[in-house]
Amino acid sequence: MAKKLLEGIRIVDFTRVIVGPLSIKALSDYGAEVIKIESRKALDQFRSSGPEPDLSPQFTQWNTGKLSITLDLTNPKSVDVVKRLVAKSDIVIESFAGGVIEKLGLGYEELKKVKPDIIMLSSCMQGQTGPYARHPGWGFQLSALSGFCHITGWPDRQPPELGVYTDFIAPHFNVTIILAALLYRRRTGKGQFIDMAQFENGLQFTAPLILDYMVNHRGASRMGNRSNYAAPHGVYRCRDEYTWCGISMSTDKEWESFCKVLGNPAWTKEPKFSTPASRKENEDELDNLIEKWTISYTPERVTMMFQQAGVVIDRLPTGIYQLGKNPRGTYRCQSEDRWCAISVFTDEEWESFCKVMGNPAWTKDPKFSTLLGRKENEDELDRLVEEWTINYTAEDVMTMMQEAGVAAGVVETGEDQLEHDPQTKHRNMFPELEHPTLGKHHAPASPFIMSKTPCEIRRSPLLGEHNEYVLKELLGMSDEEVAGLVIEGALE
Amino acid sequence: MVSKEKTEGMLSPYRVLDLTDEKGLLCGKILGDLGADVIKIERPGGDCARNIGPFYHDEPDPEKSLFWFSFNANKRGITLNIESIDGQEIFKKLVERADVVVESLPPGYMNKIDLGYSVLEKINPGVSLVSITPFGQTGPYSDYKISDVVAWALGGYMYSVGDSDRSPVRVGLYCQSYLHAGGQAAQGAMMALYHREMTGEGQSIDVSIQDSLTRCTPERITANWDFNKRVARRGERILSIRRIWPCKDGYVYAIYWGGRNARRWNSPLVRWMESEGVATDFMENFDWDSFNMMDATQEIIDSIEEPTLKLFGKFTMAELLEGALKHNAQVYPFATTADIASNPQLASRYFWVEVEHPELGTSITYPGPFAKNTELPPRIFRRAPLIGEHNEEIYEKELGISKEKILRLKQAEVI
Repeated sequence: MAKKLLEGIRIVDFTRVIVGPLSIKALSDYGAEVIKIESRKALDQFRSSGPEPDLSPQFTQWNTGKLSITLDLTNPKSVDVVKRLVAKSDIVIESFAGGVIEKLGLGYEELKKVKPDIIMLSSCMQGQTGPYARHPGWGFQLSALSGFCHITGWPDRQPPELGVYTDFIAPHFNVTIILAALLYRRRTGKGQFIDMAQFENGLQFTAPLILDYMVNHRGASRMGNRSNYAAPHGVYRCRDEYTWCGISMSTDKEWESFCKVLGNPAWTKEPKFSTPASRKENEDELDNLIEKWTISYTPERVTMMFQQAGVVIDRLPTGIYQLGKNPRGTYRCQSEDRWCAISVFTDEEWESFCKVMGNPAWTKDPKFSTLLGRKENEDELDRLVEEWTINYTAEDVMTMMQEAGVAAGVVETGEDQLEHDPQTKHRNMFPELEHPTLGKHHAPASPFIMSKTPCEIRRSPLLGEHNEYVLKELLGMSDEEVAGLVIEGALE
Repeated sequence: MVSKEKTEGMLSPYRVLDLTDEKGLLCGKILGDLGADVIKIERPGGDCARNIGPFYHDEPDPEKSLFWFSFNANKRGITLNIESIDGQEIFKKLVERADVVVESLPPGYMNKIDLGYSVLEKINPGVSLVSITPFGQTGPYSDYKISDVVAWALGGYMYSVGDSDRSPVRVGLYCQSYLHAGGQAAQGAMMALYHREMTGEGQSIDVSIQDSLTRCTPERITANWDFNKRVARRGERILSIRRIWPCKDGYVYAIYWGGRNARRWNSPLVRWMESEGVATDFMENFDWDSFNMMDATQEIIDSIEEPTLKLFGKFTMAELLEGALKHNAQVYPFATTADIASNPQLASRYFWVEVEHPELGTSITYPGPFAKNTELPPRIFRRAPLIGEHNEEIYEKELGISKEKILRLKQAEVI
C-alpha cells in the first residue's frame, strides 16, 4: 500500500470538543499518528455526553484515526510521560483556556527543552495574551462575540441560536499553519510556538463587514436569506414529507406502558383491547386509534416517550411509505417540514425560473420584470414563489430548477446527508466504520479529494485503548514501569 | 502603519497562481498571509468578484470593492485571457515556476481550454492544481449551479438555524459559505506542498463547496441521525433555560449548565447577582450539584431566568463583557461590528492593521493576521492589487516579454 501523506508525523493532542479535534482529524485522516491525551477525571465533553465514555456518538465524529491514552495530568509522573512522548513527536496541539497548559508544567518553554524543534499550537477563545486570555467559553459564545449571531437571522426578530459556528472556522487556519510550520521546520530545522485565537480566526470570515464599518461607518445587520444581487434569493416551503414510526408490543406489560404514555385514554380500557388475542382481532381499529395519537408528534418525540417507557419503537426513514399503504405496525407521525433554497441572479435565470413554474400570470407583472423591481417587491415575490413550491417535494423543486439552470438546493437534514443525497454518496463523504462498542456508524471524510494521496477514515479510539502501545512500544517502558504508573495513579 | 515591503514568511519559497473568483479567493489570501508569492490572474478588465460590495464610500467601482480588498490583500495582480492561445502560452510559462494553481472554474473547464492537470503536470511535475467547484468534479450534481443560500441548504448547517415558525436561515454575510471552500482549498494546497517536498510530485485536489459546508454540520445533526434517527429541528431548545438574554443595548449569550460542571460554571453568575443585589434566596440556595436539565420544571426555570434577566437588564453589552471577566462568568455579548472595532482584547493584542491605499489617498484598518507565532508570523503588508497592477513587473521583468509584444497582446485583449 502506498505511503500515506503525513505518515511519520506524530502529534500529541490535548484538545477537547470540536476546534482542536476537528483540526487534528484533518491531519490524522491523512496519515499522521495522533495520540490523544485523555483523562477519566476530565473527559472530553462529548465522551461525558453519553452513558459511557465509549458510547458517545458525537465523539466518533471528530476523533477518527486517533489513538487514546489516559493520564491524570495533575500527577507529576504523567507530566514526565507526556514529556517523553513529546520528545518523540513533531507537533503538540492544545485548546485549554489560556494559561492552563503552563500550569500543568507542559508549556512551550518546558516542551522545547525536551524537543527543541517541537511545533506547538495553542488554540483558545481569545489568544494567550491580553486581559481576556484566560476567559473561558465555547463556540456558542464566541459566535456571538465575533459578530456572527448579530448578522444572522431576521431583521424583525432577535438573532437565532447559531450553535458553535466559529468552531468550524478555526480549523482552516490551524491546519494550514501547522503544515506551513512543518515545511518551515524541514527547511530551517526550527520549531515554534503558535498562538491561535479563535476570535481572530473568526474575524477573517467577516472582513468585508469590518471594512464597511471602518470606511463607511455602517454597522452590519441581519437580512435573513436575502442578497443584494439576486431575487428570489431565499428558502421556500415545499410539500411536507410524511414521517413514520414503527411500534411493536407483545406482552401485557408493554401494552400497559404503551397506554400510560398515551395518557390512558378511555378506549384503551375497552375489553376488546384487553388481551393480546383481542387486540389482534381488532387490529384495524387499534391501528387507527394509535395513528390518531402519533400524528400529533414528531417521530423523534414519539421515540423518546416510548423508549423511556420500555416499548420497542423505530423511527423509520422519512417518506418511505405513501399515504395509506403503510404496513402493519407502522404509524404516521407529524409531517416534517421541507424546504428548498432558490436564487435567481440574471434576467436569463429569471426567465428559466418562470418557465419552470409554467409562466403564471403574476410573473408577467412589470414590477417583477427587473431585478430592481423584484428587490422592491420581494416580500410579495417570496409569497408567490412559495405558493408554487408548496405543491412539490423539495427534491422535485431542486431538480426542476437545476435542470433549467437555476441554482436551487434542498435544505438537508442529517437524514438527507447520510441517506439520500446522491452527491455526498458519490464522494463518500460519510464512510461506514465499525466501532467495537458502538457498532456500524458513519463519520465525515475530507471535503477535498487528493488524486495521489487519498484520506483514510479510521474509527475513533476507545478511552485508553492505546495505553500499552504508547507506553511500551513507543516509549519502551517495561511492564514494571507501567504498573508503577498505575499504582501511583498517573495512568488511569 | 505596516511596511509595504514583503519580508520573509514561512511560505516565501512558494508561488501560487490564483484563478479563483469569490468561491475561492480566501485560499490564496491565507497562503499569501503566510508569505507565499500569490499572483492573482484576472480576466482583462478585472475579475467579477470586484463587483461584490460593500464599496469604499459606497461608490460601486471595481477598484473600490471592500469584499475584494478583504480577500486579495498581499496578492500581486495581472490580467490574462487564458482562453486565448497567446494567453495560454503565457500561463504555461508561469506554471513552469509555480508550486500551486488554484481555480474555481466550472468542472472540466480547465481541461476544455487545454490547461487541465495532465497538461500542467507535463510542464511542471511538481505543480499541484487545486480546483474548487460547487459539488466536485464528478457525480450527479456536478453540473448543478450554486449560490450562497443554496450552499448553506445542501451543506446541512442551515436546517437547524432559525425560528420554528419561519424558514431555515443562513449564516449572515453574503458569500460566507464559499469561505469554507477557500479554507479547505488552503488546507489541500498545503497537504499537496508537503507531499511535493517529500516526493517531488504534484497532484490535483478536488474541493467541493457542498462538502466544505457539510464539514461544518454539527455532530448533533449527523450523529443524531446516524445513531438515534433524530432530526435536529429549528427553534428546538437544546436545553430548556434560555441562552440568549436581552440586556440594555442588545443581547448576551449565557448558558446555565446541568450535570458535572454545573456548579463550577453557574455559580460565578450567582455571585455576580449577589454583588449586584439581584440574587434571590432560590438562586443562593440552589443545589447545582444535583441539577439535571432534563428534570427542570417550569417553576425552576422561571426562578433561574427571572433574576438573571434582572442582572443582564441593568447593563450594556460592553459592561457585561467587562463584568464577565471580573466574575469569571461565561457571558458574551452579541457584538456588532462597532463593538468588535472597539474590543479591548483585540486592541491589547495589536490585532488591527493599517493598510495603505495610496490611490484612495488614505489607509484602511483591516482585521490583522490569523495567527501570532514565534517564527515568521503571517502578515498583511500590501493592499489588494489594482487591475493589472503587476503586469509590467511580471510580464516584462520576470518573463522577459518585450514592450512591443506586450502592446500587441494588450491590443488583442490577451492582457
